[in-house]
Amino acid sequence: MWPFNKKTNIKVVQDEKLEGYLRSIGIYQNVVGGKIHCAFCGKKITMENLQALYPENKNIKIVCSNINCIKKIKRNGP
Amino acid sequence: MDLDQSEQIKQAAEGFFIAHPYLGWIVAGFFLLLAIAKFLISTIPAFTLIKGKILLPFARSIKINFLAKQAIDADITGRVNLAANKLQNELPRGWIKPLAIIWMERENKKSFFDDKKIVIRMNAVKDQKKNFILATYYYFATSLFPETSHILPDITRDSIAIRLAERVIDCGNDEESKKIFEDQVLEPAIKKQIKILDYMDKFKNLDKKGFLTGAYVREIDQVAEEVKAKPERKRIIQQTIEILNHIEKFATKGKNRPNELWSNSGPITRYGFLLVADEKKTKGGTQQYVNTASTDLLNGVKRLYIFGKNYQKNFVKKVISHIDKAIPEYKLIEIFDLNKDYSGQKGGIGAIFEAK
Repeated sequence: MWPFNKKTNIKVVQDEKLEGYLRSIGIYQNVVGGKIHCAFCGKKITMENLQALYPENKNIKIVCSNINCIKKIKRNGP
Repeated sequence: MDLDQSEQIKQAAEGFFIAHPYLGWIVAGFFLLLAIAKFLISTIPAFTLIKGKILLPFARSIKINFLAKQAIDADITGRVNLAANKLQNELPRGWIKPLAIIWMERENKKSFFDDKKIVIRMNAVKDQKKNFILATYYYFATSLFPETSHILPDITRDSIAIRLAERVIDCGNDEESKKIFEDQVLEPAIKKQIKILDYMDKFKNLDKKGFLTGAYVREIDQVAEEVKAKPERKRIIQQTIEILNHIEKFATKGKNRPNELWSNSGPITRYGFLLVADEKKTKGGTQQYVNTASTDLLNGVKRLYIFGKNYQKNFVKKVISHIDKAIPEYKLIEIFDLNKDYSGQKGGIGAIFEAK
């Protein structure tokens, strides 16, 4: 039955909470310092183009807002 | 507040409700209604969507974070789950689960790694259409082919996810959303692989006759499952293309399909189609279809797809049940809904039998 199905959970962080969230996992300074690049296209990540993040082998991978990069997460990410 | 005071308040409240018994029932009724509304909103997508529709205009004018979160959540989960609710009866059992948004404000590194989940950034309420499109696309990209996504070609999976997301967005009849979808999802996908246009075109043709979710996704999922540990896995791209070309030819051919088009055999699977006509036009009743299914079995059809029209649902179910009873060598795997029937009309019913 529909309402009792297991759910597909999507973790979401709001624009306004992004800074706090990045600080909590310890990567805010690296993002604003321009030290992180998109896991797929290599573009420099900024607070404006950061779209998603996921864990991979004890590393935090960050993905830019290009839809082609977001689409790759499922195949290469969690 | 000391014990005496709280005792006094308790006694006063008791005294009040004893003096005004109806008021007590009204308050209890109000909380009961509230609990029912909360249950309906959290479990039935149509109610979630109503909540979103009520909250969104407020969230846009009054900038309160809690309200914005509630509005984005209700609007996205309501719309996606409404579509998913319908799609779960079309797609293979267990693929589609309701979407739930988990709002993150902070988390420690340990839980981030333990959870092994992607975290998506959502924009403000003013970008809600973009949020919805992103969530819809991501939802389908993660839901389809749960066991075989790593085996199937990227372009096939991407194109199916795009086609289904496009169907959901088209249902909303919102031109701005369609434009955002084209700009944000379709165009970058085309720029990356121009071939995706060919796939999209073929998938639209299949979807118009119910063969995309009805047959194609099921068949390539089965092929991928079977080649997992076989050398044929190297030829999976070619396999999926051959199946696509065959089903497209079958779906678009109309009434004059040549005999050889009714089934297709590849190195991995052999499938066939049986289309149930109107009951009045069927001379031999359900027996005619049982005979055809028996012939298919003798001819080596491993997976037999039955498709019928929505207004003939009862007759199609009789055919399925008759085949199930009369041909024990065929096992009924699943009965499912169709978006469109083989003549292009809305709705329809399908089933799949597999040779034991």
